[in-house]
Amino acid sequence: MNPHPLSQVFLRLFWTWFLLPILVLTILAIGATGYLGGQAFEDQQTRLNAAMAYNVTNYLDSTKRMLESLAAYGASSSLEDFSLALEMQQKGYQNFDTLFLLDSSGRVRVTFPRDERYNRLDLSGQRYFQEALHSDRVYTSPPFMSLRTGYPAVFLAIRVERQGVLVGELSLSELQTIISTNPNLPWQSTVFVTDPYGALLAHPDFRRVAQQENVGRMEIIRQVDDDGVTRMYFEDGRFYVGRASRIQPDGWIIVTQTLFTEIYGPYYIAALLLVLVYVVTLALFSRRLIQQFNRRLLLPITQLSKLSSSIASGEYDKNAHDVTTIPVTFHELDTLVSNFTRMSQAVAAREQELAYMASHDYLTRLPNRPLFQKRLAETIERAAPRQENFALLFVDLDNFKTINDAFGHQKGDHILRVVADLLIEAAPPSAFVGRLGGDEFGILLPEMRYARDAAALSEKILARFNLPIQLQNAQVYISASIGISFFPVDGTEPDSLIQNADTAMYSAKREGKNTYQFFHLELQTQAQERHLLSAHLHHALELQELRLVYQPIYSAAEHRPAKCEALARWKNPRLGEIAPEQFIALANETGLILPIGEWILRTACAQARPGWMKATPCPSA
Amino acid sequence: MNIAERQLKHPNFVALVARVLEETGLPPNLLTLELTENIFFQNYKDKELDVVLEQVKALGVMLALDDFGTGYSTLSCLTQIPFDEIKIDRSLTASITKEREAAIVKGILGMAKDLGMQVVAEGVETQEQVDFYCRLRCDLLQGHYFARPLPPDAVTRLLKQDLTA
Repeated sequence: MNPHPLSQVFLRLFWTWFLLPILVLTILAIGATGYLGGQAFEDQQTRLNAAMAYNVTNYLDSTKRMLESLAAYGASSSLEDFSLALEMQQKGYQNFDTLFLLDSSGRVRVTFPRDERYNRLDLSGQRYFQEALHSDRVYTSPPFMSLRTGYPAVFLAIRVERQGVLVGELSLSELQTIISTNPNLPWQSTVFVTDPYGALLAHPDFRRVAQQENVGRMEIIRQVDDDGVTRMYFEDGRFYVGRASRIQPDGWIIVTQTLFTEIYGPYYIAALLLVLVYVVTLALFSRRLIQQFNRRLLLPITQLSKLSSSIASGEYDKNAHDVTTIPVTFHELDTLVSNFTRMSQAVAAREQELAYMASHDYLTRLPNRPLFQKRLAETIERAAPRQENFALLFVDLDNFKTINDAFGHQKGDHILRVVADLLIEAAPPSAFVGRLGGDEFGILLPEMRYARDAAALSEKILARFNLPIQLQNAQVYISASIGISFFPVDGTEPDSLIQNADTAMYSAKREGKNTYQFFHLELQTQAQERHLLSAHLHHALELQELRLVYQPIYSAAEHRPAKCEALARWKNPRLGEIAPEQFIALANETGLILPIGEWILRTACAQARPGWMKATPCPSA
Repeated sequence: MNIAERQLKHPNFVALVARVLEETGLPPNLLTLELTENIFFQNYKDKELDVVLEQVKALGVMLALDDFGTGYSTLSCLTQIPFDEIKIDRSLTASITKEREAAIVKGILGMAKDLGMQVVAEGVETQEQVDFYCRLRCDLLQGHYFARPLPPDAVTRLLKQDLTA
């Protein structure tokens, strides 16, 4: 797997070890604060709710006690006394809008304030009658809209011994007052009361009670139990924190709620601002940090890595001054950059040396054959469009192998160095001298247009060779053979130009060495013929194209054959009879003389054996 | 037969000659190996060549110095190598009418006699040349005057005729 770029690695580290922990810690801190704040608020809600529940319970209980005491009184007195007490109670305290007494069959016996229209009215089917008749406790009815007062109210009913059932119509306006005018109620907090089924008994907005609204759908109402619940919820598009609890025995539900946004708004905004400032600071800090990181570390390292890439791909020239553009701001980077510079310079130097060694001959320091061919190709490219011609000299030392064998390689190398210096000295400044092979040199003459100049230069070179070369304890005379070819008449390709100069040189050798020859087509034909001949000669043995003839040698005294000389002959079906000098010379050059010589030896010895020995005293090959 | 420089320098040359002689059963003294002067000029310091020629001689094979009188003749090679025969070059034979060349040939013949070497005159084509060499008591003559190179069976026939004649 490839390593990621430094910037990515740094960003990931930065995220994992810096930003992310800070963000997580922040969120945890906010959460903890919120939780603790919530706890405190919940406690406050619980206290508030308990207080309100106490108030409501108190009110309801006192009302009930009043009814109970009336009932106790009624059980032990006459109807008149009881009626009087009820009337006084109703008029005097006005806790109840209406009080009415039902007999045990459910018919109205008397109402207060007195209203004869209700007498004998059968209310036995009403629930409050049934519930109260069979219970010792005060029964509380669901709320309803009183037709007499036009106010919401509930019935409280209790059984009265011997008299029947006493029913009081309790207006909810008093309850309304209790929940609306509590001085302990915090700002933006409200209280409302419902019966066990969610029907509103009291609400700060009294119209909702008047409209007999049921809030049983509210979650907090549905979930309330004997211990009470605290919830956050949306209601009428607002966000509340509320607590609901039930008061016994009627199961009324007291809900206290506080508008969350109103209470926490300021804190909320302050907290948001804080978080915002915090995030912005963090972002700016991170940005600055990353900038610094980029400028001081990432940028230099990226530049260094680019430079190293360019060096790896073989560009050495630019890096030396490019290094100075790298901003160095700390010690280690300085060391790295200076080491890098030293290394790259060393590499460049070595590369140059390698390139030099690859393109030059170690011994003579002359360009080698590949470089010579490259230069030749470049010269051709320049000369071809301008239709210029130029000369190429192929110089080969005569008998160098003999000298090398005679004096040893060290001396031979010395001679080659001397010859190289000599050729450079003799050649014009525009010439390009290269060593093409063992004792072969090439002289490229891009500005030489005329054959006579090439001839003059060749003569000059041959004349220089006339001077002896001083070895430690001997003087050596060497000579050279030179072949000359011209672009474009003798070839338009580097290879053919060199080849043809070589061919011309070879022709000079045949001319007796120590001379020069221009290339001409006939030479090429000869060379091609030699090539053809050598190709056929390779197969001459196995195709049995060779044969031996014998020239008798006579004794001078007796004029009789004494012995004979074996001579090889070659007849090729396509080329015909080939002159012995020609193919023997070729065999010598190509090394085929070894198998051919062996064949001659074997054949001559074998053919001489059968008849001739008996016949003559000395047949001999 | 002629032996080229390359053959002579081949490490297995002596072994090859020995093996061929053994296989064909040819008596070694009937085989003459001809070497040109150039070999010695170009290898005049090569002791290995001397060793090879000593070994060939030890097989009983004859050695001849071919094309003598042309090229870079060095008399020193005659002292170095125990040649059995000298072959005077055809170009020298062709110009024996000239005084200088005739003198050289005489010198060669005299020297060969003294060194106990046979002399073959190559390129003998005229009666005049035959007379010249016979007068100087040259041992052997080779050339068109006597016979051209012949195929093996013609050689056999020639030898039979010669016997019967």
